[in-house]
Amino acid sequence: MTGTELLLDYLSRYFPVFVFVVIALLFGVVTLVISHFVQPKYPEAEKLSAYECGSEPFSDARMPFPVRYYIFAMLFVIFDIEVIFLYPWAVVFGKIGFIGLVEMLVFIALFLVAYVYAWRKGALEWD
Amino acid sequence: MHSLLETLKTRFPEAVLSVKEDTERGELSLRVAAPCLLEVATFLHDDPSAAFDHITDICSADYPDDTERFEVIYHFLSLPHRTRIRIKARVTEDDPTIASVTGIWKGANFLEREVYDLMGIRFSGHPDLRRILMPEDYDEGHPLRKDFPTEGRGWRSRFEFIPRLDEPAAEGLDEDISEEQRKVFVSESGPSSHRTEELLLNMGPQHPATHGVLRVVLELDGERIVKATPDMGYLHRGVEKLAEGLAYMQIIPHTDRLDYICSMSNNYAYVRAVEKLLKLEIPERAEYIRTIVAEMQRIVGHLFWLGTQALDIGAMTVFFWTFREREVLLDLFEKLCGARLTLNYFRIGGVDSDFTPDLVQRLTAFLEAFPGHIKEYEELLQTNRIWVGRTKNVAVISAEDAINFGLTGPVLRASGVAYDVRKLEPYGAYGKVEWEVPVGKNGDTYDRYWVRMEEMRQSSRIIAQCLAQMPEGPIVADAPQIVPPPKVKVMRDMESLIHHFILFTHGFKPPKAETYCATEAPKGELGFFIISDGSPRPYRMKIRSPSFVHMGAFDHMARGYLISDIITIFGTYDIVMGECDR
Amino acid sequence: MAEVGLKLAFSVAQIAVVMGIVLLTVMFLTLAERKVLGWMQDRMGPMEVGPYGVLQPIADGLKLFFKEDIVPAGANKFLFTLAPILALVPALIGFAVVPFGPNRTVELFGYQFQPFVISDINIGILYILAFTSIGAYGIILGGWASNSKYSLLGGLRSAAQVISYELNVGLAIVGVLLLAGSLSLVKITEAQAGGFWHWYIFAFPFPQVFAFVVYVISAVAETNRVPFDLPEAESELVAGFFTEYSGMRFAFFFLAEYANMILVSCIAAALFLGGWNAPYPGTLLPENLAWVEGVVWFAVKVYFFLFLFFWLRATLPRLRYDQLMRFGWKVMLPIALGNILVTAIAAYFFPKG
Repeated sequence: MTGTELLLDYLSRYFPVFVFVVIALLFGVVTLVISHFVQPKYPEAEKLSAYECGSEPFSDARMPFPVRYYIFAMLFVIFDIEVIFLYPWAVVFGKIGFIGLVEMLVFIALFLVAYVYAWRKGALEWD
Repeated sequence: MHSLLETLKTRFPEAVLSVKEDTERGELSLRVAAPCLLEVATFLHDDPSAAFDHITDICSADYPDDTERFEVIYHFLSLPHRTRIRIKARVTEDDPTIASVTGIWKGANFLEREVYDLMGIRFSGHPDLRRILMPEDYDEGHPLRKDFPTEGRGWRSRFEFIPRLDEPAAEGLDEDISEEQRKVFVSESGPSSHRTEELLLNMGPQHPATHGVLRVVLELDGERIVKATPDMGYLHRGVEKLAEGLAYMQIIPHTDRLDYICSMSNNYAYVRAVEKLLKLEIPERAEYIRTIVAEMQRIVGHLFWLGTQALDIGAMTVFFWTFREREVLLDLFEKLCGARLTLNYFRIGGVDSDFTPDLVQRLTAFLEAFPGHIKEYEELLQTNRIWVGRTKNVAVISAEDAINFGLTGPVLRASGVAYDVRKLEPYGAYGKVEWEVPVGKNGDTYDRYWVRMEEMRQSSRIIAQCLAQMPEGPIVADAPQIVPPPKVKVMRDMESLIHHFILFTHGFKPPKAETYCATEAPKGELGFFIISDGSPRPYRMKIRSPSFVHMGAFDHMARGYLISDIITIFGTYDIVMGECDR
Repeated sequence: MAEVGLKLAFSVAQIAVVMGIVLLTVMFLTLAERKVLGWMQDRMGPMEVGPYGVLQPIADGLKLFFKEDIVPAGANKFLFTLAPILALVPALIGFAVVPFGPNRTVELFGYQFQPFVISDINIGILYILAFTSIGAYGIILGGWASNSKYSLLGGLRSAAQVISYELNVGLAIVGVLLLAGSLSLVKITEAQAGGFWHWYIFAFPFPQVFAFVVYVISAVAETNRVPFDLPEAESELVAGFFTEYSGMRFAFFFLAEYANMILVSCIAAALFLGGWNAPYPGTLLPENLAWVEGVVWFAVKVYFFLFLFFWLRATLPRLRYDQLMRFGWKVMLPIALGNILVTAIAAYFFPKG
């Protein structure tokens, strides 16, 4: 196949995906819009207040929250990128032979070092 | 006991004003001078010959005609010596202040707050003297005082209950909560170093897991609890005040609504207190029937607890399975007295109706199947690592603390204290059957779970033995002055008609006395303290409800655990707000 | 140009069928879940609407559709509306690469297309992983936009949980990719043809049992189902991130959860249990009807997983948050990693063919 044909084939494969995204979005938006017009609306102060078990909230809910969540988010980003590197390797594993195996063992070893470091530092503990 | 009295008299000659020993009811009560209360209390707690380590109750009575108008009444229990004592102190209307005993018994905290709230007696040295059952902004005085009308003073009618739909909705929150209001919910040490502002979260009253309308304000550090402040009283109906306007017989239905899961137990506790006041003997068959239904009710109560606790932790199926068994027992109650939840089955002097052979047969069938069902629950929970992980080492309370807080029932026994009213002061048929008191070790949620599971087994053991031993005979006492005659006799017999008339128009008149009577309800020690002035209505009736006292230890047990554990702690207490708020 | 139009028409038709089936399955699942739970709990489940309650999902759907959709006063209206859409769309479009039946090409009106997969793109599994991650945004945005503490806590918890277990999902499937040598779900499924001993859960040289277990557990966690339903743990956080949601917006979160359940079940079936392949070599039905057999086998496998979801819900209590995170990071992750190492070494010494 020439380059143009390859591109066309590529586009034609992704075309239905694109159509699906559009249809799913339309489904969401249209349903909400129709529902918006058929539903009753009786707003009222108590009904619209934020739920805090029937008591008056002590403060706005948009408060600073524990940094722990960020730590896990960061860990996820780091490790997930490493996982992404594993994917192409896994797919072509049959063709790259011994060198590929060793290289990836080294990569996973590095991964493990980071993992053990995070564990020892207590980053994987919720508390 | 006498030696203790002698010691007290010699050590505190000015403090002990009078001693009254009620040998017939087996009660000891002591009048002390109010300024010396703390001394006497400290001695009672610390001295090994007294060792009143367990605080049972604090209540108050109002005598408007006396110079020293208010009486504060303390009930203590000595677990080592197995004795109870009642201490009374009088304060004047002008200066209704007495020393707080919270420094000695931590459980006094909530009890003193209740006295302050309802009677207006101030406790000097109390760490947090606020209203507890009435709303914070209640400004109509103290409702248990005799000059406060039973029907209230119209505070409620000032509320706007119905929202106005024609007005436009306001955007955002109304107003910020003042610093003053926040302060009470924040721990003494204030926000820790790495936080600038504490996070306060309301849990309840409208929350799926608070077991009724209980509000707890949590101070959080991330997901950890720094302080948990229970805010109660949403279900306060003033049963104690109402009782002052009702004849003794009329109060029984009101007790149904205390711990509405286990109304038999409340009935039992109340009629026992009245019978103790009257010194009324109960026929043996009635005693057996009472024991059986009380234990059935205990099983119902524990099944309800197990289901809800499991549901709180997410084990949904157990909930439905326990309700399946509970249903069988409720059917039996229905067969027995026509009601399922608010049973009103007990009568002063006996019970309402007799067991039929059919009922006995069905109950026996239930008892045969029940151990298998308990095994089913245990298979779903005890053998599940998630369940064990969620309950072990959660909300631990030591035996010492549990006693100091005045905890009773399974919560206390799980901490390793074998205190059970049924063993300590056997009543009903408990002295005549064989059974054991299950006792835990660690005082954690898992032990409390285990104790209650074991108690269900013991209860079915008790019922089975009672059914086998139950003698024939009458089911109400032969006391025409107190027990209403049967309808047939009322219609045909003149004397019975007169008794009937008097009883239902005036009620009976108990002797002028006072008594505290404790009963082992499924949730703990349910006590009724009744002061009778010889009239057909109680002068003062105080209900010592286990749930209320248990809530006093809530903060202690919750600190340092995660939000998820709060749910477990709610469940492990087995609180019912009807009983807690009264 | 005519070709593009034809392709569009075929795609739209295919997507409509798939979306219809998915949404119908979601509806049916809500009923099935309540029925199965009911039976496990000694009760009958919904019985009122229609015979044996079969019309219950329709009644629920209509109710939610016509219900007042409350936007709390302090909420960010745009994000509040965007969140449920953001949760639902990725759950739906993941189905674009799922092969529901045998890979074959049919010619209709002079146009060739594959009837059982909307699009066989060569990075199928990556595509699904990428889009399901977007679903986490919907959850966290919904939690944040509501301006309620319970929603916020639920949203945060959920986000942290979803990403933690996402990692494990990603690691668990590496073993399968290694053996299959492709990212396309169609090719992975085709590689498992010829009897259940070729399925990757049992396959030579190293059965992916551990990966399968890690994947299933992580998938349950990712879809916020019992015993990992902490973000919406009703006894703690009331309803978690959708506490403030009602009406159709609420329904979208609900739809998303169930669509995600179906999606992860489809992936599990395709990756580990041979997808449309029967557990025996060849087919029982004649050649021209073999596709029926394939579709049925695929459905059976998917429904097995869906049943597993219900079964877990009826059996297990809920984990605590610290336990959940510890389990994910300290138990699941090392197992998944170890599986990759062993699989790689085994695949090197016992290469295919």
